[in-house]
Amino acid sequence: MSLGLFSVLFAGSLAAGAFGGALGMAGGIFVVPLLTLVAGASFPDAVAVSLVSVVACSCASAPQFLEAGLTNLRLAVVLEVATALGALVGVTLIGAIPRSALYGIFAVVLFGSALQMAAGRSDHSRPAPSHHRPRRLDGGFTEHDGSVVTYQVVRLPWGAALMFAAGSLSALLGIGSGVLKIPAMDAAMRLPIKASSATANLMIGVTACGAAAAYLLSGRLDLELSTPVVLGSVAGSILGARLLVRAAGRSLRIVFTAVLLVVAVPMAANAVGLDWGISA
Amino acid sequence: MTPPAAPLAEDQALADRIAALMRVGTALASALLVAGVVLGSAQAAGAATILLGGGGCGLLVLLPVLRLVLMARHFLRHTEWSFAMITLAVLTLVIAAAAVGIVT
Repeated sequence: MSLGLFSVLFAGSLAAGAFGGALGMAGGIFVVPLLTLVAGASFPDAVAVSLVSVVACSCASAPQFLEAGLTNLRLAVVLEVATALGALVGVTLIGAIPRSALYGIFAVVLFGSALQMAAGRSDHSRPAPSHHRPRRLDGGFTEHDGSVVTYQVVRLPWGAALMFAAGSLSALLGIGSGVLKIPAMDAAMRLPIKASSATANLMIGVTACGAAAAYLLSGRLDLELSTPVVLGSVAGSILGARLLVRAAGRSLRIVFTAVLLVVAVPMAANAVGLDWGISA
Repeated sequence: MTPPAAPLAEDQALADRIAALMRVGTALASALLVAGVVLGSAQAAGAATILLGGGGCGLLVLLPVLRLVLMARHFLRHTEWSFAMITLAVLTLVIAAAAVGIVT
């Protein structure tokens, strides 16, 4: 690999990791088009490298979220059952579902999530009856300005169903699917956006690591392409995580809504047959 | 009932242990990848591949699995059987996904 391409992939992955890390998602959704458009990689090669970069993003930014008390470990592991099951199903479906259909589903979910995020939610919404809620999953954290935020986890089955879908799409499209996990926790389960982002960030590592391990162990991971992408993703994620810990929840919600819409457009384009660099 | 303002003390201790695992593991994996690049540019292709693949990327991919092992051990120690079973189920699913991915 030339020094020029190495530098471009490193810088692109750093930017993707920083942006993704600041929102609690990985940069996988940006890495796949970077690899197919800039490096001329095939879609399967790009998916494999992207999955490893997703794990790298998750691992690199997790310490800051964990130490800041933003990550809800118990909720993460409960939802990981759904997302890991989804990933397992996704792995078995590789090649069985037309990619245009996947992008279509993805685009619809993203548009729907963006609308929900933009609409916001009522702070006076009534939580579910306490005897129906798993209290051990409730949590809280201290904001950067010292204020304390507490929350209750509601509508767990809804969240789990969305996590299953996110896990399947992750394995099929080579993304961490944080872009789906965060709205699932925010809109369906009513978590604060920062707790959603931090918890989703931890979960994307587990979602992606099974498929990533399969690519690595079967010799289908392009190690030359992986190196600049992974190193860039690690550096970017650490920077991005620092931004998230300090960011205000409201501004985070606005930026995330914009990202959902921006990502949904090329997904919809690919669904109707236009090649925007994220399909084979 | 008001939810806790911060994670339970034992949960925060677990979070700190996971944070340390992730920080050390990511740093080590990155160092191995950089070493692989240096060796690769010095025409030592065989050693570079081992460091890049087995060392750097392999360690990174292993970190979420090690995190699940840490969590399972924590829940077992605190006799939180339901969370221990859930964590072990996730671990099983991840290993199954890797195994299925290798053969398909």
